[in-house]
Amino acid sequence: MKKLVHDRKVCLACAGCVGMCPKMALDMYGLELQIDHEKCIRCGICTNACPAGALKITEADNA
Amino acid sequence: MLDSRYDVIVIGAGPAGSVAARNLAREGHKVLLIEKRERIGYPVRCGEASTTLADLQTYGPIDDSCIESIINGLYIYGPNGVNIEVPKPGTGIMLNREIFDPWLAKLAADDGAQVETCARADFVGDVEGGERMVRIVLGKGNGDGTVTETATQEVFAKMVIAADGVESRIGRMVGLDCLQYPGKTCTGVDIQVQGILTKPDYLTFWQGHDFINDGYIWSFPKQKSNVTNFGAGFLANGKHAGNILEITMEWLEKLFPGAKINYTVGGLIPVSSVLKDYTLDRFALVGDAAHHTNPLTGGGIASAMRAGRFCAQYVNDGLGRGVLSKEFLKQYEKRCYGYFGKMHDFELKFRRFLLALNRDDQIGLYKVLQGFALGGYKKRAFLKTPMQSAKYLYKFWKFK
Repeated sequence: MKKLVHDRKVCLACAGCVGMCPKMALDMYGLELQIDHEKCIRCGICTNACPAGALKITEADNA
Repeated sequence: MLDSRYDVIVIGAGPAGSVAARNLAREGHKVLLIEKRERIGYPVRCGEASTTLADLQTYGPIDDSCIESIINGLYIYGPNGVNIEVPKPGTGIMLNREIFDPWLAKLAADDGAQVETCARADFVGDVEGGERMVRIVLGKGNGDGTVTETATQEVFAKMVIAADGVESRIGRMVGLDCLQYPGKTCTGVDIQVQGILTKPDYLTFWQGHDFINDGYIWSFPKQKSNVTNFGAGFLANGKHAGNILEITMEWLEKLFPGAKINYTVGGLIPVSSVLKDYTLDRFALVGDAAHHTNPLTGGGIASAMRAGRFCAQYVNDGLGRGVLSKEFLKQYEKRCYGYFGKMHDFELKFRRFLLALNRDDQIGLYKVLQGFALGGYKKRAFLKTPMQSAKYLYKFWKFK
């Protein structure tokens, strides 16, 4: 099972990923990104949108 | 505390939202302006360069505290050392958005709009009984930029204006296609560097095959603060997947070794040119959410403010007459298209043309443009290189 992972330390809180997510699975509240893993289709568009490389799709071990 | 009914709810307190809210509040309407962040204008997601002061001041004088410096020209480093200098006194200004955005919102508040921060629009409903419901999540700022939710409230308004920027969630909630598509959007980073790196009253760019062909690198000096916004914007099409910050850092090190970095911000820039459809019954998008940004330069402050004003004008008119149908609000779209949209469509074509050229052709085009700039921007400057000029004009005309 793949999973979208967000690195808070690298994130610039620019919300670029929010605007490009086709499923509206992302939202920025305050300076924190919220991911709705149920809506996420792991398409990877947000990982390209992120200028800082804070978003990655990884193989989750036990999902 | 929120009331349960307003004439207009404006979502997002950036330049577009604040201008729209202020102009409507001025006309005596009951306006609520909500911003989900704790501090308006923070974090800045912008290179902070804008077009002429006159362009921004159609809205009223801009307070001196917001202005970093006046820009008197552009310098563009092109491919193969073909550089273009464009001296033009007063061609732009450098803003301090951390001051500018809250200042604009304060003007709206001074004119009677209710401004709420830490307030996020969670849902916008369909029109029912001449109103739209907006579900607002209220929160409390923790001082470090994070927000803790405290309450949820349903508020009704005769008109909803969404100025929620590139995130463009609100428009999508009500069924508009305002998604930022890969290939039609730029990802950018802006690194604030201590000191002035390039000519203080010039905007400096690096573009083309020798630098970044999918966008450009910029250096915008902020004189008052003695810092420079150094950054780059690329098309977010996956070619540079996830390492735009890294590439920009590399260029900074290459061009200005040892530069002292204060902090880094990021952002997305819609470069698709204006959306074709961004109004509904009792609903309109404005600013970045409606892709009101220049698809060549990525600039959008002036057009967002202009759009905010146009939007307020038609909404005021509509509230007076009791019509706020999609058909009526189309006039606002038309006004924006006439004012800057048409130009943006042209600039979109030019950008696509420029980026599609191979290195040799790009050098040729830069030479033609360089001649034009040296010749004082007179059309007859093109006649000095008639063959080349004609070649590119023809190519551009044929370009689809």
